[in-house]
Amino acid sequence: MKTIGIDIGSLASKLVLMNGKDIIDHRVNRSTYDFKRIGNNLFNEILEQNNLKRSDVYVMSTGYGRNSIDIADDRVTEITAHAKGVQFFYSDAHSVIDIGGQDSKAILISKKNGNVIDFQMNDKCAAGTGRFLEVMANALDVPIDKIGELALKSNNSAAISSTCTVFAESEVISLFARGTSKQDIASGIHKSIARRVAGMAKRIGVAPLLVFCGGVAKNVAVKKYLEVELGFDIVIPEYPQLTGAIGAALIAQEKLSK
Amino acid sequence: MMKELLEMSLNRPAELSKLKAQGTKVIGYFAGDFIPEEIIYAAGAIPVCLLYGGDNRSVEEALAYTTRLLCPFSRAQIGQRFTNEQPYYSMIDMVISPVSCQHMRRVGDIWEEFSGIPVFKVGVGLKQNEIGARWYAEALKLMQDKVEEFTGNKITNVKMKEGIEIYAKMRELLKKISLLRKRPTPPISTADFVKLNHLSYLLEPEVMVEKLKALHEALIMKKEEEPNNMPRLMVVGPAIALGDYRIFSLIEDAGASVVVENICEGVRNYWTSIAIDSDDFLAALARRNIIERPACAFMRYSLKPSLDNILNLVKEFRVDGIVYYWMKYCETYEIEGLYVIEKLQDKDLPIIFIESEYIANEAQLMKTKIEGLIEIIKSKKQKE
Repeated sequence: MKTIGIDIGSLASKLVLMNGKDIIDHRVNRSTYDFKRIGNNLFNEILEQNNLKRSDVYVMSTGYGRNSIDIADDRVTEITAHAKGVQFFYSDAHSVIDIGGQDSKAILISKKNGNVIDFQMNDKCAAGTGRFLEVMANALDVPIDKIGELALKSNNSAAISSTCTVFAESEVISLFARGTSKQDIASGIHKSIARRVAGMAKRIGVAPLLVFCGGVAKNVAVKKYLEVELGFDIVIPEYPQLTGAIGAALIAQEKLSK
Repeated sequence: MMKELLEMSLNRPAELSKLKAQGTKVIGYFAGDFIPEEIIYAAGAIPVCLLYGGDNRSVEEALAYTTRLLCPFSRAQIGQRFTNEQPYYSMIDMVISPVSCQHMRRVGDIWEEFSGIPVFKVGVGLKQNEIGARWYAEALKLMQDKVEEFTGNKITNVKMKEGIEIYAKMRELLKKISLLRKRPTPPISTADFVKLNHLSYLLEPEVMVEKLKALHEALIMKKEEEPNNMPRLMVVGPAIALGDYRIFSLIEDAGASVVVENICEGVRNYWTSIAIDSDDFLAALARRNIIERPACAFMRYSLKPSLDNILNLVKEFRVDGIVYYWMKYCETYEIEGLYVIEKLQDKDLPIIFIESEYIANEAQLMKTKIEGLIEIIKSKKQKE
């Protein structure tokens, strides 16, 4: 049976249709306040375009909005889903850093059996998340998909001392007023995210092979600065935003095969 | 039974008002189990522990009087005086405050400044040895003098012994009921059990003893249910407020069972009995509270004893995982928690940290963490 993993994040909703180890189709869309509608829309769209009926698939939901949608047959937390999803790309993955729209998390995977051993999540604060980057990109007037490259052009990053989104934004504005260049400010912003997330990840003892996923993994500067903070190289899967949905689809398969 | 007790607690303020009209003093005190009810009881006054919390209104209200950096439990004890949501906070004639952690002691300072009623502070020895106990016993002597002066009643040895005996009986019964949760399917939920504990700080001890006795007998008679095979969790933390039961319901809704609590107004108070070998009752109370009882995180030597205490409860109650539930800004518990986590990693015991400031939208993240923990425990069990 084909399975669908659907990951309703706070900023983006992701859906993957899988048949065994093959990804047949996938979708990414911005989440709205109405998780249920966005989930249903993506779901119906993918069924239609692949000539499938509801009864042809088993659906596993995950992510912040996993309980808000009613099309799911079962649910799993994004912690277990990401751990499973990254092992689809890297079977020897030992740690995960996921930076999403509203939270970031670090997960430790057992080398023995691939299960989650430990995890950490940041507590209700936008610092160190995709939302933080969005607010900063906005303050700098740079498109979100260009801000990482801009940061890497800097040779002299500005010190962004505050990790609170609201205060960091005013810090950025005052740096602007002092004539600091956009690239130096951008570099400081990315370093502040990397420091914060790496600090959390070190608490659970992350080690190579570490897979970086979530929407923010698409940002080249966060990856580079995370490597500096952690002291080792990290890898990014082919679809960094989809690991949660892929993990959910794989967990659905395991469940069906039992 | 729970319903009956809850109802009694709702009627209790009216009862106290009547007693007050007849001249009886109602003496409030703050949580942490360092203000012996026995002394207040022996002076013919009525002890009432102030430990409501869990909703954000009183926490925010407190910001008019203090800083955000006090833990939400402490802030609630300030805010409650001004929101008038719980009658106990406005009907007490005097309040006794422990000088314990940095947060709790400030609550006493602020009440002193703004409440308009007498506040008496009791120093708590930091060292869990004879010196600490002696120091604290002297503070208790000052408290006893103050209570005698305030009530106009002399505390006799006979009354003091009566007080110690009735409270010891109450704690013994709580422990007996607590231990029933070792069963594969506990006959009482930990949420209910923590509520029982909380009510024991408000209701008359004689009534409480009678009700706990009946409850214990009823629970023993209750047929053992089939094992439910749910993950067995322990909730560890500082004071959990009366009314702050969200953590328990989130865990139960996620399909796990809390089998034991390791919190101030819980295990840490009823676990150790009091040893009376002379008429020096204050010394006996001090030894129990400072040396013999499981340590509180603000005390001098708390890390290793707290870890040992946790490991002991894990074994006794066959715990599969731990939820550390702490109040935001409670630095002593956060530091202790980090030490415990480090040591538990070798024991292969999954553990998560949940922080609260009594805010409604914290629930979603709490839920994800709890479900993540349960998934870890279940996958571990599957492989075994």
